Amino acid sequence: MTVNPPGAAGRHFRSAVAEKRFAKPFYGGKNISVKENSLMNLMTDIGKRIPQPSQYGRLNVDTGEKIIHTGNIVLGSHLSVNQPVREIPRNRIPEASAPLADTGGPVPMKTGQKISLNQKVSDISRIVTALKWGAGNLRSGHDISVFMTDSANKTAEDNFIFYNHPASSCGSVLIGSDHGSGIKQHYDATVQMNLKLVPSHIQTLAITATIDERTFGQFRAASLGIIDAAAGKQVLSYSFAENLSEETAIVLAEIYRYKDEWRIAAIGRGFKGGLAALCENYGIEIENG
Amino acid sequence: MAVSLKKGQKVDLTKTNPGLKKVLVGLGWDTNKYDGTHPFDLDSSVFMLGENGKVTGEGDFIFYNNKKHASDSVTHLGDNLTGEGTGDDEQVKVSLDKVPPQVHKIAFAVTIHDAASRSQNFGQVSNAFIRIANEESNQELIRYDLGEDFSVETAIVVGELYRHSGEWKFNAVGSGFGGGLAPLCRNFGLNVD
Repeated sequence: MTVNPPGAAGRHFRSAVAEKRFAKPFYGGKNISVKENSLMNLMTDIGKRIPQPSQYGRLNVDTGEKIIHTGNIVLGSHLSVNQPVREIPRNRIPEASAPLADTGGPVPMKTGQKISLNQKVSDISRIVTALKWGAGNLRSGHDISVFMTDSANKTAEDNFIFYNHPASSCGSVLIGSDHGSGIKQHYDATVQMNLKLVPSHIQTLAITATIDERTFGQFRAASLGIIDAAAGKQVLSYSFAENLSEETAIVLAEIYRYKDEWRIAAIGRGFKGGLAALCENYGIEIENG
Repeated sequence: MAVSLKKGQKVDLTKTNPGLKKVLVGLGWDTNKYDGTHPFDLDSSVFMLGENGKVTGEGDFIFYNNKKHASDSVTHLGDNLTGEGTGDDEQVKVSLDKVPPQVHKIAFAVTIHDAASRSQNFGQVSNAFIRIANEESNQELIRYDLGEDFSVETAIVVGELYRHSGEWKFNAVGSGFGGGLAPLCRNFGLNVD
């Protein structure tokens, strides 16, 4: 088992090595013992240094099947994870620990609101769009996709970015990535965006989601975050599902050109007709079946 | 070719169109291409204001329940419940020569009915505009496309006709209000519950 040495405050580090047991000098020379017989992730977030000298950051121990510890580490005492602090079944989404530097918190967006991204993020080439479905919901069965539309609101086939075609050829949109920031561990889905690479004829990047066998009315606690990956900070937060009910395909937000900048519009509306309705809305013809 | 205005711009109406007496004020918008439980219902209304920017009475508030001013100068042509189709969704006729002398300004507003309970606002409305046409020739004279100017507002004073040195001018006001019609009425001196 290798554990990266503690770095500067604010860095994440993570190891994912199968081992039954390890005991290794940890912060301040304290040992941490973990007994598990499966693949284990030890993930620490030392982004939050707690003022008391005996406490340091946050620790999640994730065996791959269940999360057996999450919480603050208290130095000066051994952390035993043989006695779970709390167990979270693997098919539920855990509350993400505060993953990012806390400098004022994200600005909440309301449906219908429009905000300049250029004024909100430090570098529009390093944006991550991140999604949480809300605690208690299943992890699978929904997909995020991005329609890159032109000024006539049409989407060329190659500009429909989804799980089977996760990267736009221009490099501006990459589903499942996070600019290498590690942020994606804290969310259910991420889309890496580099708005400087968006071809000039593309007017809008529509961030959408579809769901199987359920409706988005069951995800009222879901939220969309816009993350300034260069600053390591979530700048916008949008509870997009508050008004949803029977929809099976939704538009979370649209990132679009306005004059010399990029804006984001909080949409939070959708269709009962699944992906086909979304495709129709953004000018793509899809084959049935 | 109509003059296209941006928010806050003012333009001559009668000076550049001598003899103009009857104008048609058209208001339009597109809403709700998404499926949802609540349709949008947008209403236009007109406030006939004195020099102090206030109405002199309820009769100066022209809307779907009070379609005609006592002076016969302003007539609301009725409520369009869906906003479907291109072109004007609601229209107001103004006979400039019949406007009582104490009326200094005629403000045109659009509000979203039941906006709060339906979680609706102008950020969800697209292609909103106001246009002024010569009613007799149907020639479009002035147009103001609201475009990106609004997001979380639920009531907008879109524009106003106002007297200036014996002529009528138009101001693309574009000022938004939260809270729907009620705060707008209070702003113009009407008491509402």
